[in-house]
Amino acid sequence: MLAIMFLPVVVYFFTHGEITEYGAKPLEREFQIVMSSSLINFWVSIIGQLIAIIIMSDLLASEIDRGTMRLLLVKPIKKSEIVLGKFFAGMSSLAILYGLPFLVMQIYSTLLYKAGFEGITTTFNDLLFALGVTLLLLGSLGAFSMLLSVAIARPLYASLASFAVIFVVQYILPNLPFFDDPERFNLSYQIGVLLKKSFTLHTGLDIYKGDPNVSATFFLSVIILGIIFTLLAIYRKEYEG
Amino acid sequence: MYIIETHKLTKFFGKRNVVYHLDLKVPKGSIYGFLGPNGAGKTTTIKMLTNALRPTYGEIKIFGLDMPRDRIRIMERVGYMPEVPIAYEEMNIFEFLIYIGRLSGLSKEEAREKTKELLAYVGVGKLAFNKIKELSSGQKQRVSFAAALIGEPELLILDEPTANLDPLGRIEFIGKLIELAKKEGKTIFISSHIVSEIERMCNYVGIINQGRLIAQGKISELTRIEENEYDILTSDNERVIDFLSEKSYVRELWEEDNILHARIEPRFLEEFFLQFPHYLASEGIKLKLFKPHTSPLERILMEKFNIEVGTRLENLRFGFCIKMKS
Ligand SMILES: Nc1ncnc2c1ncn2[C@@H]1O[C@H](COP(=O)(O)OP(=O)(O)OP(=O)(O)O)[C@@H](O)[C@H]1O
Ligand SMILES: [Mg+2]
Repeated sequence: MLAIMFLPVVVYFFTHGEITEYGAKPLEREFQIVMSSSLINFWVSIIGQLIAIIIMSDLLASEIDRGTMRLLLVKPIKKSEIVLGKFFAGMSSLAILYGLPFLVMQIYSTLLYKAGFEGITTTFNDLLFALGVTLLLLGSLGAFSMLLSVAIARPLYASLASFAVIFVVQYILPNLPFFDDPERFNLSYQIGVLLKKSFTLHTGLDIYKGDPNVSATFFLSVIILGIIFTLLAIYRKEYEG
Repeated sequence: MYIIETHKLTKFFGKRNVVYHLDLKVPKGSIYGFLGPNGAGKTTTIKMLTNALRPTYGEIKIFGLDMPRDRIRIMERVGYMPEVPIAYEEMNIFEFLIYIGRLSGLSKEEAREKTKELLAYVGVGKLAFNKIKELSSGQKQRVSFAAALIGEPELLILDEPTANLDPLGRIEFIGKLIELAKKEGKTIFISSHIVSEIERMCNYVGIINQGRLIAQGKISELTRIEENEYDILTSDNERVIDFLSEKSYVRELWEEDNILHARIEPRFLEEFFLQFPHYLASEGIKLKLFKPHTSPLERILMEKFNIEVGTRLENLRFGFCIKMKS
């Protein structure tokens, strides 16, 4: 999976434009542009979403499926600790899975622009912001697929079900006549909206209409609600296996 | 105080009633045998005790605390061994036990120490670095036993723990349980349908059939049927046969593999107990074995499941019947 995540870096390696100006300032602009396009077209596109869903729906469903949940229930640990522990474990793997290629992209572009250490420090905030936004978006997706995975209790079916729901919500429902801007339901679109907040050097992001704060609040609430409902489902569930 | 106490514990699966109004009472320090035929509801009951299933209604108190409200405080003191061993199959035994130890609240060091000790104790020391999925079912069961013991629990809940063990393993296991109860004062709740095993280790039983508790208490106090059938081995069985077949209170007498089996008319048991030793002593015949033919637990079961003492003979035993009286 990690190899797949490096694809945008490889693409950038072969396709980056000719560099006319060197230094930290042009580097930051270029970094924002390339990160935005990679995130929108690849990292948070349907492929990235699929990877997040697979990772997050395996966490609890595999415990339930293999019956090991029953081992956890006879231990002095809270069910909320189990759910939160799993969620943050999943988010950590996502952070590594995305953080590493982001970092390589940063180092590579810094080298291209011969910006040296100064280049790394100026783009560091952008890197963290991109990672935060990615995790926020994929976290909401993850919390949702965790909830479904508890209800379905089979990792594979849970992934498929989450994916089906996400696909319908992003690409099919919004195209019904009573939705005005179908593309807004798209997570790739939303990442553009969120990036706008801090990637000010990349004016191209202006085509993504919408308030980044509203979007961020929305995704955060999805995460919180997803975790709360997962917890409720864990409490209500019976463990046969 | 009872370590496990349930009140009207009941479980329906849809409309199907699997456990009904169970009032378990498991005293402190006892080895409590939870006995019942296949499908009686033993595993279902244990899953409710361990919070895997929700009771349809009824109460569960463990250490006097409410389950599920005080689950955490209860589980600090409970070790559980499921019917089918469950484990993280990708881990090796060592990693798995340390992980379970950590979940039980041990520190890293404690978990390592305890794991090393238990690996030897349950007899899988040589396999410590084998993946769990590569083990045989008996070996898995041993690991599962170690996992139940790792938190130094006061109460062990074991669901058919000997099912996959070899004969020697069974004997060892029973010895260990008795030791855990006697020396360390642990309370052990163990489900089984093997009468002889329960007999060897348990002092209390609860007998469950079709989801209902049909008897519960100290094994020694449960049966009303007095034993009237004895296994006898002497230095001269021939003469003993001659003597006993004369007696009107001996209802049946037969020999099987050199052992005499005598069934005595219950009303005249005292007479038999007086005359028989006297005869042996006066004739200089040595008594090598004298024991009740059925164990107390078997008698309890026969009584509760309405198995006729008389019919049992034809069905269950093949022996040469020397004397038959009606
Ligand atoms: N999830 C379920 N849905 C419906 N019926 C069930 C379910 N689980 C168990 N049962 C039924 O409940 C009854 C009791 O099952 P349980 O596993 O408690 O028996 P047991 O006493 O443990 O038997 P065994 O000695 O074979 O282990 C069985 O008839 C079984 O078919
Ligand atoms: Mg069972």
